[in-house]
Amino acid sequence: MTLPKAKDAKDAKAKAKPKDKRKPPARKPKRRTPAQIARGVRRRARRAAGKVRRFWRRSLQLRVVTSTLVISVVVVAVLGFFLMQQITTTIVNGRAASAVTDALADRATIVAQLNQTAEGPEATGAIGGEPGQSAVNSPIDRAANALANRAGDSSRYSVIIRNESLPGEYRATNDIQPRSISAKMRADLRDRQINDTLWQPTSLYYYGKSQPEPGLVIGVKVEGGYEIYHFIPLTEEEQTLQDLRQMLVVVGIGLVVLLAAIASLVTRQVVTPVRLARQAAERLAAGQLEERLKVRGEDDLARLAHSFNEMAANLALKIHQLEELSQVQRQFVSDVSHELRTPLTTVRMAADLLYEAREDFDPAAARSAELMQNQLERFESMLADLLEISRYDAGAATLDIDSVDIRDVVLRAVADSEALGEKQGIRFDLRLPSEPCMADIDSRRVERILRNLLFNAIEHGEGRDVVVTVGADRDAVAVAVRDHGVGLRPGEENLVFDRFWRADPSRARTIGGTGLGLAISREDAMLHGGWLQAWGSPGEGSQFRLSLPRVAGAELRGSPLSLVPPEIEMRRTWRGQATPALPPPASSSAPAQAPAPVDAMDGGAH
Amino acid sequence: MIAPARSMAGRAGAAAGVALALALTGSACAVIPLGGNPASYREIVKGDPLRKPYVRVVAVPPRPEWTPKQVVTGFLSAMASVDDPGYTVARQYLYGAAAQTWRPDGTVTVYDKGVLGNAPPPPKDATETGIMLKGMITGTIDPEGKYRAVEGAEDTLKDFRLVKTPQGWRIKDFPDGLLLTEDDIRRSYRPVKLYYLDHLQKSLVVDQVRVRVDPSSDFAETMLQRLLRGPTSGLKSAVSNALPAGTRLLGISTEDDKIIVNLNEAATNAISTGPDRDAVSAMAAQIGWTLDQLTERWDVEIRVNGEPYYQDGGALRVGFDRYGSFDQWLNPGRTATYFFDKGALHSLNQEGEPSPVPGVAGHPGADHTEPAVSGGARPVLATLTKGGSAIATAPLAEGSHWEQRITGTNLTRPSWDRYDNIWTVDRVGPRASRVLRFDGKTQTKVSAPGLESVEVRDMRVARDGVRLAAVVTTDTGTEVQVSTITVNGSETTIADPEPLVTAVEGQQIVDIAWQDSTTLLVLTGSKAGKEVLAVDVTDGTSESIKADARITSITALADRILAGAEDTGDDEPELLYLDPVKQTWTPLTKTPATTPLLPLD
Repeated sequence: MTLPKAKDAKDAKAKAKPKDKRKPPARKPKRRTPAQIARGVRRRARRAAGKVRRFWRRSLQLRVVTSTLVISVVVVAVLGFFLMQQITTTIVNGRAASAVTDALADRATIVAQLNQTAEGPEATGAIGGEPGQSAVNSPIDRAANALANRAGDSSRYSVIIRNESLPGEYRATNDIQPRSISAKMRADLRDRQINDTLWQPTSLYYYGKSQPEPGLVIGVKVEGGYEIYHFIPLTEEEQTLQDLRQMLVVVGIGLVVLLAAIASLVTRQVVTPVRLARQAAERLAAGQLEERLKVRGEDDLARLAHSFNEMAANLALKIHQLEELSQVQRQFVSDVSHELRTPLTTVRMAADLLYEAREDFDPAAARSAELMQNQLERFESMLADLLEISRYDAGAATLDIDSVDIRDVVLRAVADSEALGEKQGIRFDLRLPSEPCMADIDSRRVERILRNLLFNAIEHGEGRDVVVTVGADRDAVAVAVRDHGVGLRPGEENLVFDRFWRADPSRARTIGGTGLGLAISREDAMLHGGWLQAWGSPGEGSQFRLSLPRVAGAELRGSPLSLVPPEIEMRRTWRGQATPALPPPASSSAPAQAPAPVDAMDGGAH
Repeated sequence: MIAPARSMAGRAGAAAGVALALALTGSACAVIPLGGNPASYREIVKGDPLRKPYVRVVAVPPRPEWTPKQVVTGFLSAMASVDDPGYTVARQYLYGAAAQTWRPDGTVTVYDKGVLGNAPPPPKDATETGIMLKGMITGTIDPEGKYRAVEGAEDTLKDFRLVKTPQGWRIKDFPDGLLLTEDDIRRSYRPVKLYYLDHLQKSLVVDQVRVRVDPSSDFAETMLQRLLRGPTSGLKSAVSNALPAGTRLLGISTEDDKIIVNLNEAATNAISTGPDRDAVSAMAAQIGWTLDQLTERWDVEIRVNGEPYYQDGGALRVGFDRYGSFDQWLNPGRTATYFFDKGALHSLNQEGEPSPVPGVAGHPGADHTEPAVSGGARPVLATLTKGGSAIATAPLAEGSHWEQRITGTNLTRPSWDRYDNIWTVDRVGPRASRVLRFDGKTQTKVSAPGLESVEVRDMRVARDGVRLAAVVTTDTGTEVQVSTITVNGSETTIADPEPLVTAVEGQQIVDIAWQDSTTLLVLTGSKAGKEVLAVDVTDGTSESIKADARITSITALADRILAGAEDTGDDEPELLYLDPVKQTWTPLTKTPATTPLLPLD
């Protein structure tokens, strides 16, 4: 359970490292160059973008609200555009229709005036609104005056009457500029029949106004080559439409905001139960099997909660059943071990008798007696180990704590193993600190751990030296056992602690370990609140490190010894400096890089 | 079983909803809310009085195919166009150097009854031709805008010489200035009365000019710009201006029934520069009266740079009740009416009943002739006495007595001015006259270079105190002259006499009277009968009013024109007044009387 975590932590640290490497230049107190500032800005922007992206990916509500907002903006904009166009067309067409009616009524007057020669005084008198203007001679003047008086000032409409072929036959009322007649209008009208009326929305230019105003021009050609243009300003309509557009925009914005708010509310109603369900699932995954959701109503979410609760109940039931099964099995193993001891004792006594009397047997029988004795011993120790393991499984193991010097324990264990080592041609190299290393430990169990480790080293040591190192610091003591055997393949560092695991199944057990030694040792170490870890590399041998807190019950934060043997570490560092393929570290950071994996392995264990 | 039923019900409901929506949008249900309480409507002034409709001529460039006559017609109408101040289109009609050297901004010659000669079309290979323009000159407008009517006969106005160019016929040369028809003048120019002040800044003096229509600005704006430029040269030395120097017009707008005149900050100088009277109200009266020609007595508010006129935020807003009463003789209202009969003055009450005035003036006295009544709150009668060698006055009050004011040899009838001075002319010899004035204390001689070597038969001072009309007989005949009274410190001069009406052979000038400060009524008599001419002294135009043959004297004030008819044997002498609507003379009172009198005449 511990090691995977340590691995995660290592990964995390490894990821964090490049950031740490980039930070120092930015934090230097000296003045920063623009490039650095730009880099800093970019980094900050990237970090902010990352934060936003993470939030975006995590928040369902945000995504729903955003898409609602975008879609409703598009829909409202399109609808508003078409609505506005429709209203504009309607209003302009309505105004144009009434203006054309006015213009047609005017046309009759104008034509009458133009055809009348200036003779009858009653005709001249009939035109003038003002007495001062009554005595007008030319027909075009009379026509223009009549129109000017009828139209009033230019805010109603203005008129241009013209005849291109005759000199001096060009009149305009008020302040309309002749360039308000668009070229298209003029060209179209030239090709038309007499009395054809054309209208066109256009820009009207007035003297004294710098900006043209929107308006309508209505043109008609009458007899005698005269063209009559009416100019109707649409400023009021323009104002109305502008007000309308403003209102539409405000309403549209309000609608979009409202829709977003509604979407937010609705998703909240959906997301909140989902979030509760997720939290419940997380707690369930964390082992709180009694976690349940509240079921409200009959909707889909309620059914989800219901299903979740059922699933949780089923899981709890299954887990409970499996636990029971496991319990039964352990009990069974324990019981079998106990039950086997009684007959084994009898068998053992008989075997001892036979063994002691083996010299009287023929050689084959004597050999059998010896074999039986050996196997019985192994059987006994295996049975003892099985009992020990089942005690752990049952949680019945207790510590018998005493403050002892770990060096003594190491020396005792080494002394126990020395005979076996000599048999294999292995020398023990002890590296003990000079001062006592006192710790609150169960010396029997620790001695068993060390014995196991030493036996393991002897078994896999290939006859080379075994180094035993003891280290201590303020909080912890550690013992490392190093062999120079075949080592461990990657991934085997954790498998070695499994029950009955062996690196090479074809290999025979030379010393006759039970296959439970390392498993028991690990349980012992954990019982002390300590760690038992393995390091190995093919061809380099392996090292097992036992770290224990000095005070019983204290949490272990680090080990005084490194898991990787120092010589291996140094070799790696040297290679790292020599090989350019590795990331080019600043000279200052190179030494810091080397211990990092060590620290990571050490520190990450808790 | 329940769920399908519910979903079917839901579907039916949705269908009903869609049907309802369709019915609502598609049916004839009115969008405009109908019914409700009838709402009251507040009438607002329709239209903007500052922007009256008008017609412009648009100048058209000459076309290659036009005949010489059409080219000349086009040029004549291009000159009447107000669209482009530089006359670029009109210049296109001119040939060669004339297009550059022609200066249109000179004197405008106004003609009427213009006819272009009907010359046969020139042969195809002709390179030069001519067109005659015949017509009658009726007046001129000088660069200041002053119009002067001219008595003229039909004549050749201009012989246009035309040259053929690849682009068509062009006019070879044209004198500086413009040649416009009466129609063009009516269309493109408007008469504007500009109101200035006399030397005491108490009365408004009218200066009338013709202002060219400018389509790029309001006519009101054009009017005020012209007012700010100052009076025409004839009045320059006689009048003053309450608008401080450097005042510029920034804009004119209307708001409800109010005109807002926006001036620059120089206008505030009027607060401190009034000589003895509030120059601000004089300035407001000038602007108000000038704008009153366009509006129906609207209020005027003067602002400075768009802010209220006074520093403390007080608005300078004057209504007609304020600027209208600035000069009581511009808007006299109802004044007393008098008539003089057998040496006694009578007044007419509201019902037209005569009664003698109080005091000695109401008692018959045979040696008092040629009366004149002063204006003001306490009117005074002045008459010629002692056979025309003296002028005596008597207040129209109980217990008054005659006092002798002016003595001379052969005096004309007295004339009061608005400051209660008495003016007369002493005819010291056959062609020698002296203008005398009594200013309340002493009798002084007024320098009048134009009047001293002629025989003055009658003389009247206008109610604005600046103009003086005199009937004079010179070697050439009898005419009415109008002069200007200029006051320069203590020096008063009567200057710039201009002939207004000249009596033709066999015609007499019987009487003159000021109707208002710019209109002089001239009663002429001949064998054919009598005629009253209302002459505008500012531009010489006159309007004829039909007169009764019995009329011997006239008097007028604003819209009231009174006449005295003599005793012809068939009819009793009587007082007549001109009915302003029917334009006929109607008896004013039953009482036989001859000489009507109005104040200040």
